Amino acid sequence: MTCTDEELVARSNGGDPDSFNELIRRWERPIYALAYRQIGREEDARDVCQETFLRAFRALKGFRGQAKFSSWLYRIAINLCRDWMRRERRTPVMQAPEDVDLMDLAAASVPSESIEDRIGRNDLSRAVERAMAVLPEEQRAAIVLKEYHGLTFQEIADLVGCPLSTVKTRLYQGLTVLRRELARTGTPVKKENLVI
Amino acid sequence: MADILCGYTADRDETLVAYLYGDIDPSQRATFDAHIATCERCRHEVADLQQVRDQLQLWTAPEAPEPLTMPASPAVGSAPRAAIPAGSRSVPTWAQVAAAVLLLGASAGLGGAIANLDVRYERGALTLRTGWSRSESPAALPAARTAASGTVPAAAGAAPWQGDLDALERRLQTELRASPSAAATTVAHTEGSAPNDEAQMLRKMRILLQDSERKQRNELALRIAEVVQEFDAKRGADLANIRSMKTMQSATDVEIVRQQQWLNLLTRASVQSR
Repeated sequence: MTCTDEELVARSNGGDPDSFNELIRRWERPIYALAYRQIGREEDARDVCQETFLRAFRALKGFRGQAKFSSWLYRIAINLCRDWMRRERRTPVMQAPEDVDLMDLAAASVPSESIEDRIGRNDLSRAVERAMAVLPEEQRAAIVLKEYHGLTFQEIADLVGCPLSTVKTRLYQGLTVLRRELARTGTPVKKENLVI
Repeated sequence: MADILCGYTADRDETLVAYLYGDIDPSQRATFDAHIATCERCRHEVADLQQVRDQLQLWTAPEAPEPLTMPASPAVGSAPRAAIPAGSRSVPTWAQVAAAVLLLGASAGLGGAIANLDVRYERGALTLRTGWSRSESPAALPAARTAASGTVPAAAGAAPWQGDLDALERRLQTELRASPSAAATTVAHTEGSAPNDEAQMLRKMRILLQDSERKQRNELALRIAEVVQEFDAKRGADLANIRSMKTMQSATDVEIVRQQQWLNLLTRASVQSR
């Protein structure tokens, strides 16, 4: 029978190390994906992911279950990403250079597919990544948390510490900018329907 | 394109986003449904933003390169060491550094198992050099480890750092035995160690180094590509500026010639009128 996150937290606080490892197995991939989409660099995203779990482990005793464990973990990760971007003072999401194949550099393992499909998917993925790089940090965080992690508006608001209406506004503005950027780069959007 | 007015009176943008994500209360959804049935602008915008959402799903994050694990039995409340890769335990940092030095020193003492490594203890400091060096004479190796007390005087003819390394090794072993995870294998013995363990350790270190070098090369290539791209963009902008300045320069030259001709004309005219 699968234990809930809160049960695993309780067991880990009771001294069972495997429980926290189970939590890591469950949430490592989403936390790494979140960090990567915010920061844009694999190694640094991995460092942020690692640091997130280290901090969570150290602060586990203080986790009282006021929020979901995943939300708590996301908050730690988002704060670490924010700290990283301020510390590094660089463009948070790297712009993919024109003649460098990021997919090759990242050495991502993908299931076998035709070269044409892979090139097409890579191009679209890169176009989306470039468009996301244009967004301010707050808008990008809102979109990443909503689109890729399925958080509700209220959860995002609690996590980033802003009003509910602000989250919706950031999402609307972010999506509008993305629509313009993707249209500008030629990624298929029905241009005749664009409302500027 | 003609501006299409929207007659929605409430917070339109926020309601549209809530409607788009389906995170909206039923009464508000019904109201907005009725609105977009008659409002072309909102209807198109919802469709376009939904398309953007579909495109966002194309962006996938790469897999994390190595899985994280926590130490087998971390002390609750203590700061855990992230055990990456597997095999690392909750060992103090100084002990890990000492273990690496022991390993490298052992390799140098055995004649440079790692390529051309030279570990020397000079003037009270441990020095590590890479590159071609003299191979250690067998006579420099300690004849036997003295284990009577904590401090070990260097045997005659033995490397001066040998005693310090042995003392560090014993302290490291004590720490590891005291740790619940006594399966750490980061200590290398100068004598009596299984050659297979050492070879395995060396293999692991080489793999880690190669992996790190590969990642650094990739990162460097990416940074260079970014710099080249920025440089090209700046160069293009500068060239465009130079071209426009040349055009202005040419126009100015023409104007100067014209002014000169007028002056000449006026001068001749004034001379003739006298």
